[in-house]
Formats: sequence, structure tokens, C-alpha cells
Amino acid sequence: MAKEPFEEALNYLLKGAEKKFDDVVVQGSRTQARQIKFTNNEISTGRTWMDQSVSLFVAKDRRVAVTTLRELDRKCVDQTLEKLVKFIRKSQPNEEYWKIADGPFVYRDVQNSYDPAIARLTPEELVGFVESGVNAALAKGAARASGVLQTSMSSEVLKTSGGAHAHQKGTAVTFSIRAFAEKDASGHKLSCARAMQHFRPADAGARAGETARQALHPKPGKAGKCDILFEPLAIAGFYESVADAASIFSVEAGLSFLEGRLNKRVASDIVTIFDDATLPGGMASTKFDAEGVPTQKTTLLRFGILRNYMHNTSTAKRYKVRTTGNAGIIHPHPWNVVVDKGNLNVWELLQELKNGLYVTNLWYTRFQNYKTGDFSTIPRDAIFTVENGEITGSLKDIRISDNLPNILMNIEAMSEAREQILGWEVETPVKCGHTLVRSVNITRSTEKPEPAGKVK
Amino acid sequence: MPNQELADFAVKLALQLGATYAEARWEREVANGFSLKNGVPQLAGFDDVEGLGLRLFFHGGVEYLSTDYMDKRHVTELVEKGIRNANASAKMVKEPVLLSQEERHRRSYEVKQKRKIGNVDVDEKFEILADVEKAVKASGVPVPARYFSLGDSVTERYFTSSDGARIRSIIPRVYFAFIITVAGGGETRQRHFQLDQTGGYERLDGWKINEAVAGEAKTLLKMMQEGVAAPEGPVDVVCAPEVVGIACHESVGHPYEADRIFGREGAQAGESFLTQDDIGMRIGSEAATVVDDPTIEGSAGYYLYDEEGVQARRKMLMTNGVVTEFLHNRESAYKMGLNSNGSARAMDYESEAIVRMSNTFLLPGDYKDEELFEGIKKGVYIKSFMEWNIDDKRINQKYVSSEAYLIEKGRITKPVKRAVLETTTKDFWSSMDAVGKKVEYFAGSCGKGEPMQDAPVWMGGPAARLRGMRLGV
Repeated sequence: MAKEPFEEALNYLLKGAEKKFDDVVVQGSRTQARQIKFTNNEISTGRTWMDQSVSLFVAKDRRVAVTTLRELDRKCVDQTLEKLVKFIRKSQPNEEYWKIADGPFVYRDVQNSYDPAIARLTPEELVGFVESGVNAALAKGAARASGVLQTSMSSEVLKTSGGAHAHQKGTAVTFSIRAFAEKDASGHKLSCARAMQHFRPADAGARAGETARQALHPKPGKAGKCDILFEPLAIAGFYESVADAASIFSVEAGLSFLEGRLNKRVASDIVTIFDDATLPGGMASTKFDAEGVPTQKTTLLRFGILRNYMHNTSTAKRYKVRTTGNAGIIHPHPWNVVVDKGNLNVWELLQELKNGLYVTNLWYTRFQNYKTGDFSTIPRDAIFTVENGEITGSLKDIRISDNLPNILMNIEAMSEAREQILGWEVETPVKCGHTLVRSVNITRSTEKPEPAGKVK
Repeated sequence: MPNQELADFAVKLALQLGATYAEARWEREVANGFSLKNGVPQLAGFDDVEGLGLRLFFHGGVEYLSTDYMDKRHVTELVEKGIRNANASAKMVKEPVLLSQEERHRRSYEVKQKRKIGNVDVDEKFEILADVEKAVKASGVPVPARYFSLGDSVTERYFTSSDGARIRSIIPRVYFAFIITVAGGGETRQRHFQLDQTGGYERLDGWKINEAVAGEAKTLLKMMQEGVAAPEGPVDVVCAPEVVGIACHESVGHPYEADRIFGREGAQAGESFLTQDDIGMRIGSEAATVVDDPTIEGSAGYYLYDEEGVQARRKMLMTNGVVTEFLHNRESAYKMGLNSNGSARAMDYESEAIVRMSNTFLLPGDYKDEELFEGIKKGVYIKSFMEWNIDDKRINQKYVSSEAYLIEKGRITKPVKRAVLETTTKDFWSSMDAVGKKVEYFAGSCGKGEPMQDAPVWMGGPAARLRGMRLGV
């Protein structure tokens, strides 16, 4: 552990590294996190993390390297720097790397990203949130509920040889609850927030329980083309994939269906998607990127036209554009994916849908080919049938086997209300609403007659 | 050297503060990583990470704590937090978590390296990637996008428990992964693949990665240019080891994880179509026996003692088509009145150990590979997949071929552009009527838990024949 204050240790590291390398980025973070996992209405495990780490990026003659330090005493720092010198001497140059950004910069605080009330939450209060969520689910008709509650407090400092110096604190609280009315009837809802005023665990529990109850007695679904209204938790993964595809790294690595599509139509004209690291209360909102560049809101798609890829300083130089503040010094990446709101409410969307399916969650999306966007995914939890704008029943055992560009082009309407989604299947936060998509391809398992019964 | 003193201190302190059971896992991992994108070296790096994970039982509840502050002051603060948290959680613990009684071992083991990771220099590791790039270029196949990554690690662990277990391990690992995009005739096709073994750089001798990646590029092009449509109607399908392996992992290994069966992954990886009363239920044919075995030397999922200090062994998950054993840790084993079968793994010191697979594969049968094709008038041989998909209860699975061929009158004939096997778990395993002799293994990175933990695994088996499968579109 550092024998001197954290920031002084980082200064020593930066100064030492600047003597040996052309470019240096030192990013230190301290995190305390708490998780409560609950299974079938009971707490199954609690978890506590307490960590301090420093990531160090260096470049010398375009040879780039990274490492992480946990010990910050001077001896350890000096040893690490010597090791890096030897390591980088034998590395190969990255001709795509130019430099890190020249600072210094002025940073704007992101609103609602730090709430001391989260840092002050007691163990009893955290258990109380879990209890309220579970009880709300049971009150609405669920038989059992499982999920996690997680809180985190972090502080970060970034210093670069380019003169950038930034620091920020952050808090977050998330609640994920999956309620079961029976094994095949479930609903999964989230509440994610950076400040307590936006945190609604009981509401998430109630919605999960209500959805589970409504999904009782599902029947096997049928294959074919179908119009679908997706809830935010379901559609968020698609929007996340769009943002991932908009990183110039993904484009170059063959992992993007947006390659060669700049300023061309890639979605219906109601689709506008931003990457926004400045989003107030955004789960990944941050003042600075990995080079210390102040972050921004970048339009990725506007009315269905691809407007920007995401860049860092080096990729921006190659493409003769400006950095979008999305470093990753090698791999630019999205922060918060924000889908512009629509203008309908859920009832109105159901009327627009008229006949089709209402899908509440998707799980296990796997791509055949990232360049074409062909994928399969499983509707998990409640899948409702909709007839003449009314929910009439529930289904199970279907798969969506389609193509992401097709999905985007067939988006017809969205809700005005949006939610922030962050969870097991959606690792980059997405803020989006209900989304109506026409003509989605459904497949299902081909089945043989029932094989032999139990053998004891 | 392991920080044994700190781990022992943590366990002792937890007991002093009232824990009924405690275990600590000290870990140090030294790792290196290198990558190449379209022939350009990307990022190279190394890490030397040390940390402590501690699990304690208090008032019937379980707390997992972790830190990379390697000093008694912080560990004390952490344990005290853990006790306070467990106290608060007690009101929502109706059934106390209890562990099966197990033989406690005091052992050390180390996976030997013939070509030590520490002796392979940085420039040589870059050369390995550069050679793959040259091989792909020399293949003559248009591969507009190529991403290669090479990594190695040495993980040292010390596990100690309040009921007397002490296990030390040193496990080195090397891995290589690639993603290539092949273009031809206005189309593209992609292939992701990874190789992963415990041991040193001698493992690369067996991988022959230059030939492997160049060969894959040629195969993708051939499938695009020469592939015909898959036949309609029920056909016999011969699945090569890669496809058999993924089916073993996804539709046997995962649903047999006992913690899933008890609902512990309900909001994450999902549950299972099996219940704890399904031991003895027939899922497949007599030809199908699937095991999970961490003790396969050199495997990606190798270990001799799990992260609860239980000795590892082979687990007979499905025996001649019948469910015979689940994957257990001490908690799930206790619930079923059994002993643990040593299936608890953790990605790193920050992760709690949960029930995981290791190396999951179909046991060999009696057929030579060519005998699997005999008598098939019209069928499909699926050699590798470019997409797999399965639901969270592990009932409905889908595989889309990357390399596939028609079988006509008992012989492999034309390439098939895209064969889609979308079937149920029962139909897959009960349609299997013949299994080959030669087992092959394939590496994977299995995701489970929240936060997500990646576990290096192998999956595999011999080739196997399925009768009367209807291919999808």
C-alpha cells in the first residue's frame, strides 16, 4: 500500500515515467462496492470489494504498452518503470498510434453522478431495499424473486504527460429483479441510478411481479415473421450493439455492420442515437476519457443516417476528424448510449402494433457475422401475444433469428418515456424507450415426438 | 511466495468476530497480452496483480469479501464490514447456508512448463503473431479484417479454510485467439476461434496456429464460393467434435450446474430444465455419455483441487443417456445430501467461487469416423459452427454451420453453405445413435455469475451421428 498520499504517489509515477517515455497516462482509482445477491426471496450472498489500482499507459517511438500497479511505494514504482522500459524496447511499433491529447483541459462536472447519500447507506438500508423489491414482486403475484442489489463509490484521478489533470468521484446503485409466478412465467425489471432520488427498487419489484403474473400459462410460439413491441430491457442490447459497431476500432477489425456507411441510411428515420458521456445521472457518465480529453455528446445516428464513428486522438488524426472523447487509447468505446425519444405511450404503441408480440426481455444474443449483423437471440421472461392492440396471452420457446440492419430499418415507432438499462446482458448503459419493430423473423426448435419417459 | 500469513490472519479474525466458518484465497497473477489488428501491433501489456478473497459464514448467511490492499489494517476493516453486513442480511436468510463435510487436504501442486513463459521474450511473442499474419497473407484468400491476440499468465493461489484445508497451486496458461473476416463474391464470412491450455509455450507446437488460421480462411472461402443449400426434410447429421463439444457444454454442462437448479443464477445465466429430483431421468440415447473432468492434463479447465479445497475428479453427468450426476459445490451438495464433487471455481480473487464446468465432453464410442457416414443416403456433416444459441433453461439450442458438407450415399461430397440445426436438448441427445472413437477438445471462455466471471474451459468429444434431424432455415 502507498506510504504517501495517493495523488503524491501518482505524481511520482508520472514524473518517473515522463523521463523514460514519450507519452504517459496515469489513471488511479479507488473503489468500494457492495452487492447483495438474493435467490428465491432470500439473501444468498453478500459481497464487498475494496480496491485501489493504477493503470499506466506509456508510449515510446510509437511502441505502446500498459500495465497496472496496486502497490505505489517508490521502490515498486521504480521497478515497474524499469520493467516497462525493457518490455517496450522489445515491442513492435503501432504505426496507427499518433500521440495522446495535448492538454490541459477544462472539465465540466457531470450532474447527478455523485450522491453522498449512496456512500452513507447502511447495511440495514441495503437489505431494506432488497426486501422492498422482493415484497413488491410477491404482492403483485410472483411466487419467488431473484436478483442483485449493488452499490459502488469510486474516485478517480487522471494525469498525463500531455498536461491533462482530472479527477472525479462517482456513486451508483442498481437493482435487478427477476420474478417468477411459475417456472415458465417470469418478469425481469431494473432500477439503475447514480443518485438515490432516482432509485426505485420497489417499483422494479412490482413491475417484475406484475409481468410474471400476466405471463402465466404460456403456450409454445410459432415460427414466421412477426411485428414486435420491445420493452426497453429487451431492445437495449440491440442499441448497445449499434454503439459498439460505431467504434472505429470495430470498423477496422471487421466487427461492424456500419463499415463504409458514414452519411448513409442505416436505420429508419425515427432512429437517432447518441453516445453521451455527459448525461446527467448516466451510469457511465464521466468527465474525461482515457487520454484526459473532456467527454461530450456525440451523434452516432441522426434520423437513421450514420453521422459519426467514435474516435480517440490517434484514430481521429488518421481519419482527419476530431476526437470524440471516447478513448480507449487503442479502442474507442461508447459511454452511455442514448436513443432519442419517440412520441407515443405504451398503449398507443400497442394500437400501432395491432397484432404481434410484446417482448419484455432478450437474452443470449450471438452474432454469426458482425459485418453483416446476422444474429440469434432468445426472448426470455414474458412474451405476450397482442391482438387488435390488446394483450391476449403469453408464449414461450421462440427465438429471434434476424439481422441487425433489418431490425434498425424496420423500427417504426418509439415511446416518449425512456429508461436507463444496465445489466447482465447489457454492459454499456443504454437509455431507450419501448420500440416497435415490424417483420421480425421468429424461429423455433424443430421437435420430434416425445422420447422415452423416466428411467429409474 | 504466497501471502500465507495474511490469508491465515483473515480466517482467524473472521472466526474471532463470530463467523462459524471462514476461508481465504490469496492470489497473484502475472500476465502478458499482445494483439495484432490487420497486421498492425496494437496494445501490449503486462500485469502483476495480487489480492485476497475471503468467504465467511455468519448467522446462516454468506459474505464474500475481496481486496487488493495487502495489509492487516485493511483486511481487518474488510472483515469487520463483512460481519456487519452479514448481521444486517440475517433477517432475509430463512434457511442457513450449510456446507457438506469434506475430507480436508493440505497439498501443493504446480503445472510444469517445458518452455517457460518467463523465458519467452516480448519480441518473440510479437513474432508469433506476425507469423500468423504472414501465413494468412500467403494463403491467397482475401481476408480484409484480421484480429489476433496472444496471452499468457501464471496464477499462484493459496487457499486456507477454518476446517483445515490448505491448498497451494501454480498454474501457467497460454492462449491464442483470432477473428478473421473472409470476403468473396460480394459476401463475407467470419470465424472466431481460440486455443487455450495450461502449461508453457511448448503448447504452441501442437497448435500449429499458422496453418490453422490460414486453413480456416481457405475453408471459409470454399464454403462461400462452392457451398450448396442444405437439404430439406429429416436428414441424418454427423456432428464433428467441435459441434459435439458446444452441445455438451451448453446443453449438458450448464443445466447440470446444481446452483442453477436451485435458482441461484435465476436473474443472470438462468435456471435449468432439470430439477433436483431428475437424477435417473432419460435425456438421451444409450450412445450418449457426457462427463466433466478437471484433471485432464494440459486442459484449459485444469485443476486438482477446487476453490473450496475439494479434490477434483471426473463427474459422470449423463451416462448412457440418463442424468446421473450434477456439478456441485459444498453448498449444493449439502442441499442434496451428497458430497461435493469439486466443481467450485473462481475467475480471480475478486470473484466468489461458484459452480462451474471445467472440461466437458462426450465419451468415445466404438465407431471409426468413416463408419459414422456409412448407410447415410442423404445427410449433412457439420464440422464447425459460426453461431450458437440456446435458451436459459437449456432446452432449445441452435447451431449454424461454418464448415459443413453433404453426405451422399455414405460419402462426404459437396460443401454446404449454411446448415442450421435448431433442435431441443432431448431431441439432440436422444437422436444420437453412434459415437466415434477419437476425442478432440476445443477451448472456450464460459461466462456466469454477477459480476460476470469468465472461466477457461474445454469442450469436446468424438464425432457423433444424429438420426432424422430436420434442419432449419
